[in-house]
Amino acid sequence: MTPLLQVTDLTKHFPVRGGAPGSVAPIFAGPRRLARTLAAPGKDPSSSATRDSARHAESTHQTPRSDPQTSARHPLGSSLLRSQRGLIKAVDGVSFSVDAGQTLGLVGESGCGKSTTGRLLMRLLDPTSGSIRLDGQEIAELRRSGLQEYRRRVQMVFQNPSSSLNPRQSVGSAIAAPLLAQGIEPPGGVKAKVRDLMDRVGLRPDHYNRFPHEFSGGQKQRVGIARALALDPHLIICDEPVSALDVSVQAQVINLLQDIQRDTGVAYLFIAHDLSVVKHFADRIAVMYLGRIMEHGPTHEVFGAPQHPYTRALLSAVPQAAPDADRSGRIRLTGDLPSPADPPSGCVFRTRCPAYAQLGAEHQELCRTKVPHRAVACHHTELVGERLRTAVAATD
Amino acid sequence: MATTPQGSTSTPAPMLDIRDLRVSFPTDDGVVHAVNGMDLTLARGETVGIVGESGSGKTVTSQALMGLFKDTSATVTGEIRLDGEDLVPLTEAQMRAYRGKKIAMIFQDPLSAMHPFYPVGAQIAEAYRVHNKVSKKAAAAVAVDMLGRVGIPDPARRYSSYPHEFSGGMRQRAMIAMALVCEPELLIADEPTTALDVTVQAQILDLLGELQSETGASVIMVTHDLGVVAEVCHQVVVMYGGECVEQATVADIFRDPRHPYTQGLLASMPSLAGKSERLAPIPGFPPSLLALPDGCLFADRCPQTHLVPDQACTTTRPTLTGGAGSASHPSRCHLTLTEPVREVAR
Ligand SMILES: Nc1ncnc2c1ncn2[C@@H]1O[C@H](COP(=O)(O)OP(=O)(O)OP(=O)(O)O)[C@@H](O)[C@H]1O
Ligand SMILES: Nc1ncnc2c1ncn2[C@@H]1O[C@H](COP(=O)(O)OP(=O)(O)OP(=O)(O)O)[C@@H](O)[C@H]1O
Ligand code: SF4
Ligand SMILES: [Mg+2]
Ligand SMILES: [Mg+2]
Repeated sequence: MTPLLQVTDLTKHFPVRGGAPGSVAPIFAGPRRLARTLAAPGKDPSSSATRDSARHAESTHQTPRSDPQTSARHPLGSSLLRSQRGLIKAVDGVSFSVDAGQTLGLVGESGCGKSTTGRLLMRLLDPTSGSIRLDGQEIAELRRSGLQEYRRRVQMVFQNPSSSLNPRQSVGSAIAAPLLAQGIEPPGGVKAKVRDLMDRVGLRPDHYNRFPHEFSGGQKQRVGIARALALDPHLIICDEPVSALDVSVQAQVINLLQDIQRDTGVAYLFIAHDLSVVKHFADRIAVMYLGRIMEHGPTHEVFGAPQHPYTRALLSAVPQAAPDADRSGRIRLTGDLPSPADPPSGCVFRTRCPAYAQLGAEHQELCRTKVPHRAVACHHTELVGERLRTAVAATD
Repeated sequence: MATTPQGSTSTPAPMLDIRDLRVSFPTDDGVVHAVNGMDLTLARGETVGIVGESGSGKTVTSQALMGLFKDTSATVTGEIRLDGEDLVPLTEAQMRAYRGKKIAMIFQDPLSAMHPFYPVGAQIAEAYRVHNKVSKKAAAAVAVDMLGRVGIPDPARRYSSYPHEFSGGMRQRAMIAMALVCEPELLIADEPTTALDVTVQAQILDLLGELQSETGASVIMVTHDLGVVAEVCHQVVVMYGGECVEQATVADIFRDPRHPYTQGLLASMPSLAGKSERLAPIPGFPPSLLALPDGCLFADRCPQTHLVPDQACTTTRPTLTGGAGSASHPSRCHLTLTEPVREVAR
């Protein structure tokens, strides 16, 4: 059976931009609002940079000026266009699949490429290479009506509720927007559908005409969820949908997402930091580090018997909501996250792997020189358990 | 964690003393009462956690402390005493001397708190130069160092990256660097680790702890992660509907939650250890802040109103009272007035 979503060897590299620290002086000399006028929508619609900037222009209540020349002439604009050295390997050969009605949890270090993966699936970014198939159909080959259909079937709830909402649009019309954009007239009318969606996510009817700045972070996130649900999608990419919510509202939203899944068979790609939420919610889980997947499998297996040293460290770092919990046996990752522009050779985790120092020279050699192409991306899964216990005992 | 939660060490003059803080916003639909009589005391070097319902006024309280409503249509009343001085009557110009230097804030939403078109490092250097008369070059060096301290890889190069080029977590770390660069005495951290994975979260909490023990700063940690509260805070304030409904030491809040809202909050946590049953959220919605009820703000969601005589829950707003038992802590609930009734409730 073809899975709903099949991602193979997905890769996204960003060019590195940058100048010397001294080069910012002329920007500070210029007035603040000059920089804001640079919020002109750029020419390249696939660039998330211009997308984000355009959104930001809205949130600072400036009218974006659509003169692409401005940015090229301004000192800041030229620094944006300046030297491009190196590549940030944000997503580097990622493969996974999601079945209809299933939830895949995607977890991992900040900056490891989870949101980029989500944006690639949403076609907000074009992949450098690799394949994304929905129901067996390669999405890079979709044109016009196929693409519009894809955009209806795949929705996203963003990590950052504030910048994904237009501050000058009432939340009622924000939720209605996808319906209007797709020209869908629900039975009973758009307004009734919007009120129903608001009710489902726990917003009060008197919120209909209110504006995003009048909402708390959690309330804004519910607006985002209602909007994603408007088109009855088949797959929702949830980028940290509950991380802005208090635990009680979080529980309401998770129950809600589960009810919707039960009723409609929607699948979720659920990106989250809170491992207890992922454990509760996801059927399968993929653990990412520096653009690659380290370990994936059924949630109960990964949580029950983590194999990769990174997964083990991740699980042991979860804060315990009990003041007198036993906090010994924790694996602390030290050192900096390597730059994705210059990832370590061999195993990308080796520079911070707590087991590495405990391994013999021969084993270390393997970590340094060969990328672990195994189901669990570690050369020494058989050894690390014991080595980690030694490492932890040494620091305690 | 660098700071282990211990019992509170109360000093005679608190660093921060908030009394009956109220914040309201005029809107087209009427007045939004976002903070409705908030009390909080915080000793020097201590960490207090603020937890509570989304929309309960945690961020608005933090913003009021930072004096961010000075030139707006919002109404702020009550007292915010920092080192004995009341910040509420200060003007925007007077407040500027405090902001960044004495009080700094890590915002919940780093993307809208940072300027999108200045390099991240330059924004940190500029924040440093507001309170320190140094050359741009020296400030840039401080900024690079700070970026490194919060765990941004390759800080000298990332100095010139723009906010959108950072991941959510990296932006939050840059935001933390910006708040810490002037070594403030009171740090308000509004969900500083919400966007971070647990391993970076652990590093950031350690970092905040280190700074705190170096400088003796007090920290207000707004969070909804009760695990973070358990690990780094001394005291906890639970907010609901713009009120403080319960304040206690960390040990007491987990061992003996008194307010029915706090009890509901603790019960709705998913657990890493337990089985995946359906989660148990508190049913219902928080009250509309446009028209607050006369009684307890939690009454229409509270499972224990029937235990209180004379329907007091729906007619009389409970005060933050100390309860009857000697070991008890304040809770804004009619039930806690009488110890025996509370035992029945549990
Ligand atoms: N437009 C861009 N230009 C350059 N680099 C980028 C861009 N977008 C993302 N990156 C880089 O790609 C990497 C992955 O970022 P991404 O936002 O996908 O991380 P993430 O896993 O979602 O992190 P977080 O958990 O912190 O949200 C980061 O190093 C980030 O700096
Ligand atoms: N400028 C404003 N105008 C009108 N209402 C506002 C304004 N700012 C905040 N509010 C309202 O005040 C209430 C408290 O908001 P606040 O942001 O403090 O909540 P919070 O406790 O931080 O929630 P969360 O956990 O979701 O971040 C919310 O109901 C919000 O809608
Ligand atoms: S491959 Fe080596 S360095 Fe990488 S996780 Fe395994 S033991 Fe650690
Ligand atoms: Mg992300
Ligand atoms: Mg908030």
